[in-house]
Amino acid sequence: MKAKHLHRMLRLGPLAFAAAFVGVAGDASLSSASAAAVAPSVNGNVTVGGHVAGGCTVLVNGGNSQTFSGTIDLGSLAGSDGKLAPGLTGSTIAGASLTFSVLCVASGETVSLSATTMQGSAAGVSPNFTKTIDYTARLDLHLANSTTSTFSYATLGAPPAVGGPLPAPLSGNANNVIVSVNSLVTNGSQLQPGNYGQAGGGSGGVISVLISPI
Amino acid sequence: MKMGKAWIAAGTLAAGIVCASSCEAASSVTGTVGVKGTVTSRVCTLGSVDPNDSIFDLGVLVNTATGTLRNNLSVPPKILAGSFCNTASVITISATPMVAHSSPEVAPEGFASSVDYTATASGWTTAAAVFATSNSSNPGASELQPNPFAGNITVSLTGFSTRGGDVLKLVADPLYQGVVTITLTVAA
Repeated sequence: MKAKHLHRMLRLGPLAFAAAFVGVAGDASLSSASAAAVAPSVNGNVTVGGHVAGGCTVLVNGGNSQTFSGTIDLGSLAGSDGKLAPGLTGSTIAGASLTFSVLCVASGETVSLSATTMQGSAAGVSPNFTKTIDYTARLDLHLANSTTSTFSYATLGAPPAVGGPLPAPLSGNANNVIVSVNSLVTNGSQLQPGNYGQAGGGSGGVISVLISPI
Repeated sequence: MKMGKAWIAAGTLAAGIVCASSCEAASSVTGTVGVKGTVTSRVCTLGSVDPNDSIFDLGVLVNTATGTLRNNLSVPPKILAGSFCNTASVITISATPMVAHSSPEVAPEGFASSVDYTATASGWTTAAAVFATSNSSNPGASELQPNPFAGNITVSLTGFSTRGGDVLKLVADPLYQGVVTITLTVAA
């Protein structure tokens, strides 16, 4: 009886069939044998939605974090003449860099870079000496398009932070963020003995990096 | 069907947890990198002679009329420019008399072959370091600079006198020569 009823509705056309099908879909008593024999295949679309909010994380010690940190140790700062060691005044300083792995889920990122002047730990400064050392902090970011975006911040005069949107999304590869130091500079005087920057008793020497999804 | 709905519901919940904890609440990464260094070596460096001539040239030493030492001998000072110590230091000066280079050590009666003088190093310490070649002891030859210091050291020669007395005549010799030595050392 039910099978006969179904056969009749088939002759009504697609629209009538659809309405009839909805009407019987919950009927568990429908004979599977008769339905399989006469029912056409049914196609449906199920829309699955969701979102992934933009965000960045940094891999630290095998885990994720929103912060990274480290220290660049420049070692002995003075040369044989008591002034800045010549090897620290160039545009590159061997070993004066740290690498981080930052993963961003975003269509793009914007970055900010700033740094502070290094000060020595001495209480005072002798005539013709200095305990102030400026430098250039450099931020290299490897991008998804295989290029590198570079920002440099010279601490002399404490200018505003540098940065801006990256021309391409940050690379998803490890070690894609490199922070380095170069071009140390003083007023040309001999360096007052002591610890500088983040060494004990010193001050300044802090490089701040912010990477945000757009 | 029920299994399918249950799976979707679990998946939605899981996605919601992930985003709540890491995607939305903390979306930026901040980095702080410290820079440090030290100036620990305690060093002293004597500057170079300015002008680039380390010889005090006194010219003719004697009054040709009397044969005795000229009483108006003088010579411009020498400057050791660019000297520095990055810690407390001691400056020491020493000198040897100007001695006739080719003459016998013992001059004939009434003659002398040695000229004394006083060497002074000033500019480094409050009290200049002084060394008189005629003195057996020169306690003022070393002076302490308690602070790191950078600057010029002025070396002067004064107080020329004939060893044995200015009435003695100097033996003839093409070269009377002495040596002035300045030493900068890190204070103990």
